[in-house]
Amino acid sequence: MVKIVKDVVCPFCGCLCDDLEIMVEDGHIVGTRNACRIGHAKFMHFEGAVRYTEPLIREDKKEDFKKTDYDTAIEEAARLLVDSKLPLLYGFSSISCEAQREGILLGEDIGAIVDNTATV
Amino acid sequence: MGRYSVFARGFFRERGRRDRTVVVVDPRETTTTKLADLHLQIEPNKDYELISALRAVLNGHELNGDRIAGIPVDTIYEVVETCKKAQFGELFFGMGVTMSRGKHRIIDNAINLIIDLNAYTKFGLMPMRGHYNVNGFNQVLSWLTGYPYAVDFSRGYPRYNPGETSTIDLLVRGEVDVMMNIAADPGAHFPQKAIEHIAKIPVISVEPHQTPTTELSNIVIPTAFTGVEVSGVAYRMDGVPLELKKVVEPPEGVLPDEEVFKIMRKKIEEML
Repeated sequence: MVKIVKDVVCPFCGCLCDDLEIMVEDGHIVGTRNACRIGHAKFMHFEGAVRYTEPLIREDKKEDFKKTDYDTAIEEAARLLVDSKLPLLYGFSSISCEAQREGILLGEDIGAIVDNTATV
Repeated sequence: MGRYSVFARGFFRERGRRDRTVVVVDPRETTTTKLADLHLQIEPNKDYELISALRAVLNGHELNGDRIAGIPVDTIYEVVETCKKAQFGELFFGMGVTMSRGKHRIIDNAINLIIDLNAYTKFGLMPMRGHYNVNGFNQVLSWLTGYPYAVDFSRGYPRYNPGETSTIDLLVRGEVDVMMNIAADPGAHFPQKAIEHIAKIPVISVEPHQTPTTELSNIVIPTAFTGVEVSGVAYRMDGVPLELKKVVEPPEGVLPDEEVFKIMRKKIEEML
């Protein structure tokens, strides 16, 4: 059974088109309506990209990644940020405002530079 | 294209595209220039010059020469007339303006052009946004600190001085010693000198995909897609906040960005 989710806001570009219809079958997205090509690709995961579903870690950038759990990855990330003299938090443009708020407050906690893609 | 761009049929523009005039300024021919009513094929880096010419004409001066910024002067007169006659105009600008010769001074001139145009009609200007929530970040950061981006918390209070506290400048000068990259791909888009510094320092990526940046990272923390697998608020590029929907479940065990930052803040609090 294909279920249609109506009035979906497109999370691709700054236009935020809000008239998308997304077809869902067995918990998977099978099609879109009213989306442009890039919006469609975001929902369908067409990019040919590799998606990570587990955190990865490595000491040396020349080594291969090792799989790890969220707790270890976040703990190590926190340690790197706390030990840093001047950390930089960059990006933030493809996440929700709620998440942006947490990220900015995190930056304040550690005395970081906080910047997004509008800087480019 | 159908929802917001030139084809949309609105309350004041019942006939959609036919009720609108599109002027495109671009040195190249593109799909967009093909659907424009008027294409100003400007010479690269002559944006400031073109805006100055438009302002001169608008303020009643005559242009000297046949072409300005590569555009015939007759076309410039025509554009000014078109803009003056509009009921409601909008100048949309992208990185071609902000990053070509003159940088923010071009925007300064463009703002003055809009001020001049408002003596005749309603006219505005708006930056085009790439990612869906660029504006949201500028809104949230302004709300928390008073500044839209490039905020430095290192002195314990927010400071804002683009050129000094902006990402690319900090990377090129090699001043930062750890980078946490959140749902962006500087490894693919930054200048070479900035990437060289990213390669030298520890990098954390909060990012669902394999990208050139994750290849330069020490830690990759994958997250769920907001607007597909998690709900949340985003700001449209004209400043209207909209609720993004959750359409499907994220892969098992994958956390949303907000949750990752909350856990990280707790851990940081314990370490400090």
